[in-house]
Amino acid sequence: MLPYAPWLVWFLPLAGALISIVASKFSSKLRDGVALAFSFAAVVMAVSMIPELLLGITIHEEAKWLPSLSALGLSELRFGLLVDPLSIFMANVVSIISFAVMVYSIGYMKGESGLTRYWFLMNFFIANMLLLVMSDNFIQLLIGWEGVGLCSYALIGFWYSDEREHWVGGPAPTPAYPPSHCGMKAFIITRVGDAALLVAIFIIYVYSKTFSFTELQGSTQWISALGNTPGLITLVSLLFLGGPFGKSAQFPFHEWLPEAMAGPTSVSALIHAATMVNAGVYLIARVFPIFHTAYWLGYTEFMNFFVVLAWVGAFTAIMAATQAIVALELKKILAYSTISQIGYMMLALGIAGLTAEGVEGYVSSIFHLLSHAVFKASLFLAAGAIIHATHSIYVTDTGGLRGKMQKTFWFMLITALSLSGVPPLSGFWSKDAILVSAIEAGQYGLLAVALATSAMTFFYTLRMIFRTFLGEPSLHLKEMEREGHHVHESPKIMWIPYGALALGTIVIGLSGPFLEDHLKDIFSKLLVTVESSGSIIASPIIPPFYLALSLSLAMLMIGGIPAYLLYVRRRADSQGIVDKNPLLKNLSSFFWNRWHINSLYYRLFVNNVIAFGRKTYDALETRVIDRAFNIILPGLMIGLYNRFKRLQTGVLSYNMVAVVLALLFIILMLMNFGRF
Amino acid sequence: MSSLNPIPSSLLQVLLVPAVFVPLVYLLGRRMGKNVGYVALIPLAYATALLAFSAPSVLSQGRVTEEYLWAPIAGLNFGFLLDGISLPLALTIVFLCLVTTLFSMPYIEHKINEQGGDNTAYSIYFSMYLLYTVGMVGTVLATNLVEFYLFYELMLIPSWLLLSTFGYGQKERIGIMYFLWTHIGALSVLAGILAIFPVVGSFEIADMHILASANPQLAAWVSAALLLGFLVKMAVFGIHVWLPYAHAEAPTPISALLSPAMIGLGAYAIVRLVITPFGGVFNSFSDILFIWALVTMVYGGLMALAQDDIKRLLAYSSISQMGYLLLGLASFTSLGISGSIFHYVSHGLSKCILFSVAGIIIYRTHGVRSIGKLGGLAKKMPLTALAALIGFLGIAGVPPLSGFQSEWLLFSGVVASAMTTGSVLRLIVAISAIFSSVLTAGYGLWTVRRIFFGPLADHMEEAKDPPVLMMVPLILLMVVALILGIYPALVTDVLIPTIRTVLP
Repeated sequence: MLPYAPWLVWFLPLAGALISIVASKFSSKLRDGVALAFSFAAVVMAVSMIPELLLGITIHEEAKWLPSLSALGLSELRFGLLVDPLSIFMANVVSIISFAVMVYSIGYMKGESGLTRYWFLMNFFIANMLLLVMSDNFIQLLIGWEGVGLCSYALIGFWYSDEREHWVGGPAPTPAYPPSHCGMKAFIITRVGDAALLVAIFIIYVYSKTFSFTELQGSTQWISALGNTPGLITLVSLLFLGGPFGKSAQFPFHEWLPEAMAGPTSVSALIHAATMVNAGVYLIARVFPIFHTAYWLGYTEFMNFFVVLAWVGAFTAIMAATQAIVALELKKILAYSTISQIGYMMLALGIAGLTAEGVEGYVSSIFHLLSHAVFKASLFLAAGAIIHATHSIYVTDTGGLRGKMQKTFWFMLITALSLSGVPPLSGFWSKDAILVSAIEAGQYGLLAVALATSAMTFFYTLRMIFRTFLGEPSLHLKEMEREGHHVHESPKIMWIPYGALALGTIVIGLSGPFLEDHLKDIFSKLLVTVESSGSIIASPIIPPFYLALSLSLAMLMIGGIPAYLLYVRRRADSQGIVDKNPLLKNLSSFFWNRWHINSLYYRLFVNNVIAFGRKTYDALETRVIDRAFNIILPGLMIGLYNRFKRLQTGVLSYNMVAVVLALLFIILMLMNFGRF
Repeated sequence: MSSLNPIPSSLLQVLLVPAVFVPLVYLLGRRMGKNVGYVALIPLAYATALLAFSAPSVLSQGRVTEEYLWAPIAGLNFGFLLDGISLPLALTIVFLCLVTTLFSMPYIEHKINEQGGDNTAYSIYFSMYLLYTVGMVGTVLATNLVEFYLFYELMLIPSWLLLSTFGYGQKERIGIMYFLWTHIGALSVLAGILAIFPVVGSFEIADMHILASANPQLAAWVSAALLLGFLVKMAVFGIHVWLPYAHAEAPTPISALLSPAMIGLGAYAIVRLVITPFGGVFNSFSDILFIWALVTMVYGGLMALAQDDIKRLLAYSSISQMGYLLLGLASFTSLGISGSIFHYVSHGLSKCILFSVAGIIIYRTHGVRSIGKLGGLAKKMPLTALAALIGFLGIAGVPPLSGFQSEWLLFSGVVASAMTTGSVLRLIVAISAIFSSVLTAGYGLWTVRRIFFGPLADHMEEAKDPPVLMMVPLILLMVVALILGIYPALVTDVLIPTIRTVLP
């Protein structure tokens, strides 16, 4: 480890973000160079920590931050960095992929205006993400957590003037959304999840008096205090999951991610596929040892945490996959696939929690995070190249690109196969590890969902590749040709990053089994293994690995053959089949309408809230409260005053009569007083 | 006179120097016109520096006190207390006043030219402005109830004058409305104060707690009267009707002070005059205040969603934010109350930014306040757009701004109060309150989007970022919000230990 690496790894990109603003005053070349250099510095720092990862060393560095909490009998809140296998692993994934995307951006964003803002936000994002993974306590983690959310908001809405070409969605009658709307949508939906997470953290805080991960892990006292109130652990578990589900776009918070595609594709690759959306998985992995130990120590309510985690992951995986099958936008196919793949990771963590061993599922999740980050970043970057070349976001506007974009075709094919879990690419190993852990845990229901998703994944991936690269060029492309715009391969600065990542998926794939075992070794030290008192499940007839392998190969067949027939051999027109069969037609429209969840959310939480606000303003605020104080009350006062003013006649004789009457009254009063 | 400060009588100077400048500014203003704003800067800068230099003493000794003989017959002294609670507040107030003076200069010039005023107008504006500052700071530093009441009313008169002279719309009528409401609230406070004296025999705030043991029933009535008065000031739901009018129609720099700095003093006064002496009584009101606070948070947020006028929207947002402050107080935990006081600071910084942004928009678009007529301004005024975003993110509690730090303290206190009392009601309120913070982010970002993003609205081609004098305050406010967000110990180190001594 280089000196101060845990500090510099996030501080350097932060500094880079600020310095690139200064540099922009001199020249745009210098600014781009500065931005790249500082994100590379983060890579250097992260890589330098790999020896600690391999040795499984944990280093804890702290600085004074909020000491006065100790005056309240609470644990002092320090600014701390936790260097352990998980954080080093994440730091490397984040910084390396970020750097690849930064290089790509030089080419992709060429000629855009507002680039200083772009570089600032990208580096600021990297800094926040690295701070998030290095943090040793919840509060500091939340700073990074919200920081990446903020960058995501600003980068989705990068083209804030909302020119029509940057909208996502459609074609009509399906609604399309402008970028500034999409950024806001992402921010607000994740905020709802974060609110839930906050409540959970605060409840834990009341009992544990600390935010620090190591202190939480070091004591079980707070867990038993929490367990004294029945239902409280379940409440905390469910609320806690809100945060990760929001950030990682899991049901019911998944609706922001498809619209997040309104940002530049480089942003989609970095934030909405490879890194930020993994923050939720990371957070669960971070607290996993704590909850897992508690569960296996006998606090059975924690089971709810893992069961919900696993089933929401599984449900999200299959739901998003169905939407990817019918999606028409290239980036949206990838976005749905991201939601789906993160579902796998959640599922794996859930399964891990439900087994005493834990390490199997845990490592499969982490491993899948790695392989997904690599192939998905590459896929997105390649998709960006295609969108650049064809000036369209729809796959229906492409076709026959293979000859014109040879490199992009091959890279995208490799990574797409990896995404589908074709051996021996990285996606195969990591997905297989998840299936194996499901088999070993005896979770056959979850296994079935995962397998079905796997078949769909292969189908939609092939559909995407075939429609983009094979077949006849679309009308749109032909028209472009006529107008003299020729589709051509992307420049070096763009294809090298996604080529390198595609190579990465091969290398990880080839070293797959070895890497997985190594990860298991490292992370088994991190997890406290609890002796299970339950009976040992009889060893299965077929070893789980071979069972998983044969099942997933079967799934590849189920998904692959129809795709091949439909989109390569063109045995039938897919649209024609769907139109003829009413069941398929309904299903397809159900999937296309995103299971009606998106429109439901708009009705419930956007239109209704605004309408309710307006109605309350009209009915209660204006007609009741304002009227009472500004019309009725003054009216009463004026009424009173009008009555009393009649007494003021100004006629002397009346006044004299009044004076005499008053005197009489006073005298009578005095006489009465005398009597008492 | 017991001054523990390196600079003699620094607290007296904090009030006296601006006070002395009031007539001076008035007289000079008639000759200097708009440039008298620079003269008004001097005492404010001096006061800010004095308070900042007192911070180390407060940190090391817990408090700085000064006492001067005032009315020996009544046994009254003129005392000042700077402790962990009053320091962050006083510093926020003078700082906001300082930066807003800069902002005021171009703004009020524009406004006075519009109204056709002469040099006297500048005289009135800046002298009243200083007097208003004196009132607010005095309220925070006062150590006895008479003194407190004097300063409490002193903030009212100049702000009323400023509102009805330099405001918008039906400014005179709204001025009266503002005056009456605030004054009625103050009368309720006065009734409480007068009821204390016969029993306690002293007006010292430090002696108020005697009442709680001497006559618990009276203490309950007094607490109720004081609370009611301060809640009018905070404009919580039901008694908030004056605020949207006053804050929307006041000249914008004054709104920037009224909205966060002045109404938040209601929360300060509750801590000082109700929670500190009558903690037990206050705690018995907690459940009602919990619900009241939640209703205020949600109602203010909903009303903000329904507004088209930027300034009215911000006014409702302030109401909603006062709900946050009240919720923290009602939690009756050190964390929650510290969070509330801290949030006064965060909200002050953010809301001052936001009203300044509204002012800039009015200034640069020749008086357009309707959000429906704005749009796409980020291209024309990027710095203003950034400021608006930071302002709204600040009140939404997004790190690394100070709003995040204050809100987590506040909410963790609220949750702690629910868990330790085992009250399901409070838990539900706590959860709803934390979820309703999404509403804050919602109306904030939606407003930013409608004003600054999308295609450029009609007739906005000439809009641009404001002159330097108006931009500097925004930058200063943003920097401070950022610093406190990154290193909150600057506030909490003095605040939390003091709050701890307040609670039983």
